[in-house]
Amino acid sequence: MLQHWVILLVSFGYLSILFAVAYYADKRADTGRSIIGNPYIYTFSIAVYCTGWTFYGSVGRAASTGVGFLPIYLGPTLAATTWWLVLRKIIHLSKTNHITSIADFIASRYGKSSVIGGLVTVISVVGIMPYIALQLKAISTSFNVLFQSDAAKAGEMGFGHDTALYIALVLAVFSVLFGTRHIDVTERHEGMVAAIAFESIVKLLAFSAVGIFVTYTMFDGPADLFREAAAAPETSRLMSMDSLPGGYASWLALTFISMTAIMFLPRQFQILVVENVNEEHVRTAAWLFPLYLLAINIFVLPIALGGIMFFQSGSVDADMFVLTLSLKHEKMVLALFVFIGGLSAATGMVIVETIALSTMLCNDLMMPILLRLKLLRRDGMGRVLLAIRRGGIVLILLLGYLYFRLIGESFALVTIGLVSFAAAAQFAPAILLGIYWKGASRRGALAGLAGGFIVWAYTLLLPSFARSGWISMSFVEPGPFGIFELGPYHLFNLTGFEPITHSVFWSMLFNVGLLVGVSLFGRQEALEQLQAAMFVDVYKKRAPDSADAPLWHGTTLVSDLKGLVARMLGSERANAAFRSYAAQHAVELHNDTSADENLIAFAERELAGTVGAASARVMVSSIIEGEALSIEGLMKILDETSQVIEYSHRLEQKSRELEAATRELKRTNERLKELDRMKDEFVSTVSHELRTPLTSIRAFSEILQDDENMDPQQRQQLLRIVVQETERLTRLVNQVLDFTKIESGAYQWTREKMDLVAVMQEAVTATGQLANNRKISVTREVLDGPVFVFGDKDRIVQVIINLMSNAIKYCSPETGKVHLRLSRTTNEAKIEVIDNGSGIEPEERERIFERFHQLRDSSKGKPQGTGLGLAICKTIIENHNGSIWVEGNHWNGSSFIFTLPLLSD
Amino acid sequence: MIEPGGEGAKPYSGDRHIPKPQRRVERVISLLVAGIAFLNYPILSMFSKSGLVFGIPVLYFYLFLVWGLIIGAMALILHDRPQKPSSSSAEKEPEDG
Repeated sequence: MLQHWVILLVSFGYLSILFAVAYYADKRADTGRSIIGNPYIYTFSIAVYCTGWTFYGSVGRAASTGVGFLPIYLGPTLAATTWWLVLRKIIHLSKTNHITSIADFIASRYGKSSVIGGLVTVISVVGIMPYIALQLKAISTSFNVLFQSDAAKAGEMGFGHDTALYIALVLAVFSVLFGTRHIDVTERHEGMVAAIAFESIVKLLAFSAVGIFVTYTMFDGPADLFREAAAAPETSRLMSMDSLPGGYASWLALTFISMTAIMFLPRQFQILVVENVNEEHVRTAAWLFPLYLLAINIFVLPIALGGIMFFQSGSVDADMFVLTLSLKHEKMVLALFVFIGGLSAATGMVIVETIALSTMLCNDLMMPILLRLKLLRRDGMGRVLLAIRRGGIVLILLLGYLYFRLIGESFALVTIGLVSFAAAAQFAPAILLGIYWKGASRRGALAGLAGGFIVWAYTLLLPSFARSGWISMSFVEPGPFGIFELGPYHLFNLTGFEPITHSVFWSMLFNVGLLVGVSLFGRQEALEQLQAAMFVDVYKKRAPDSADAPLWHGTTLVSDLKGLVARMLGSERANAAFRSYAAQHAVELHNDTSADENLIAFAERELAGTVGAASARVMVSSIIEGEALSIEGLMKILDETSQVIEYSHRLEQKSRELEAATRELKRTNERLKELDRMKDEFVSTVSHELRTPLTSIRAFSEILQDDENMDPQQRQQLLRIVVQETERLTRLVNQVLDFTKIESGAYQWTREKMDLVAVMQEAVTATGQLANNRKISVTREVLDGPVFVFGDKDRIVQVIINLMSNAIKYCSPETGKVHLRLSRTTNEAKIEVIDNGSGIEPEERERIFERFHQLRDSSKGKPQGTGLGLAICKTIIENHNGSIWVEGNHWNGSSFIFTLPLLSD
Repeated sequence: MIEPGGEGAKPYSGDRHIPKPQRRVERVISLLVAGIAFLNYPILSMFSKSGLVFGIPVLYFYLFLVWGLIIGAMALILHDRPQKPSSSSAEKEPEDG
């Protein structure tokens, strides 16, 4: 017989040890030497999955359904195979977004919607209520069994049936002390994780101890045990699938909801995702955690079979076999150890679950409401948060107690727990579709979650109330208002499934159907699209400079922002956070300057870590003036596709620019080459042109030198040629000098106002002698008044002389005519030199203004000009902003025409 | 470090600079599909019969065996790191999605 005080002492002693572990872990964390930063602690903490259900209920389940207890552990094993893909992505997303709970995660994904967050919270609290009740039932029953040492009467004696209430209250206090000790309400609880990992080890050891006791002490090893069990009909039936109600369909449904439960029960999400220290730990946990499950399940069947064979008639609650078997054999220490193991399993679950749920209640239900009602504008909101969380923990445990009081006695442990599993499964579509399908919309998620939840409540929760007599049993059978088709266990006349399978089928159908259907036929808002793209494409590489595309577009002061963060986190932590931001970004934050987008986003993230994404958004937008969401920022990261497109656009543009630059360079290079070639040509042509007259001068001079007896008339002729050639040489040299001077820009223009009529007169006078020599008639056609232009008079005269002497030269003597005409338009003066010479071929007209381009006239043999005259004319005219060209005319000769801008009066 | 033992021929030629293809995503998904197939109807029904194997009921023996194999395969897949000489420690996997 165990004394009451021994049991109580051991219980509280054990709880104190948990505190010590948590305290130690917190202390270590504060000094930066975390003990939970390894994959093994992480794995053991995930084993919070194994609760009083596993510890007591599995045996009870095995005793009635055989393998029926196993899908609950095979499901998580299968789910764990996907952890490397799915869980890691969820963790990654949660870390980048400072996610605090599963409600926060789903709300964040669907446009930071506080409605979704609230709905998920409500589903969680209501859905988990049976699960909490299960733990209360497990602990209180085990308490009573231990007190009485008489399993048959357990539940009616000892503390009476209010044991569960006391336990609920103790657990509430315990959870409050555990999870909400600090004012700083961040998302992570190192001490709790360490304590949970410790509990997982204790419960595994305790359960294995009973298993070994049953298998090797009561029986002669497993072979002996199974041989005996196989011989008895009531135990041998447990060895095949036939004993599982619902058969393979039920097996599949249980596997499915366990796969979702391992990740999406609020406490599992808390441990797996929120408390995760390092994504890499998933690598180990993905196989080590299933191994833990396997280990804790090995002895379930032996204990169940042993219990049935030992107690024979079935007078003892199979859920308590682990305890009663050791009690019956007077193994008090073992019984106490088992009791502690069960306490471990149940308290672990309650602590994590209540902390997770109270965080959700606070961040995703209360905060948005309080913010909306504008009740939270004072300082020290941290304390308010803490109070809400503590209240939440008490509320959740009391709800669990109420549920336990209502239905506790009429259900086995596992049956109660499965109701909660089916509720948690409602989160799976919203999360899984949410992180892999951008199209999943807020309305879709809302409809899916609500639909699934309603179907779940109708097909599982309400019937459990009916069974306990709270609602009339006729609600279940035949159905509400006597309508069979509406019966919660055979909805729409779907029969042949046991209740869990039936509920999972309908709720999932409604959930997924509504989520997909509403998403497909609805529209997403900007923020939704943005969040969807961010969640789905979290691993995709972003264009380099848009990694932190700012989302906030309004303005606020740094001091306001800091004040807001300080209200939530306390001024010390807020200051530290802003300091580290300033250090990281190498900026100085002055209180009275306005905060940039990055700082605002940073503040929002910091807040999200405490109050959740939806609340953080509301809070930040309350102090931002102006547009809350910048369109550019939105467009920038709306989705990866547009981003990549933009990126490649920019690349294309760059390469186009580069191509253009290359082309430009090529052209320049060509021109330079051309100029170089022209220079060479120029030099060689000039040399050639110089050599020709030089050669004739030298030849004739030599003749004159050698032949002293030359007849004076001939001598005179030769000398004339020499003089002519010398003149030509001089002209050439002058022209070259002029040309290079003008070309190189070294020539000093002496500009003045001048009258073109006078200029023409001068030119005609200058060429008079030449015309007379060749008997060419020169006519003139000028305007009445003077025509004023602004320019270098000598040069313009030179141009006209040049054109006229060319015309005279190329006209046939005697019949040649040269006509000079001056006309004007509104802003231009036009001078034409018209001759009746041989004319110029159209294809030559462009080129004759090039340097050294000479008209090779076969009939005249040697070219008569230097080839520079027209080039010089062109240069001069262009320098005066005029233009010069050549045309044909009615005399079949050529007209050289140039224009000059008139001097404005 | 767990070395891949019985996974058949590896395209690993001994040249230390050719990274071995990992195909971790494909392997993991295949394992999941195989696990679901082997742990459900109809394969499961083949073992739902009376009788003992090594003194253990056939169904339980089968279930725990498959369970253990899945765990082992998972460990192999996830800890099968590329056998790099020494440099570049943790591989960054741009997988997923």
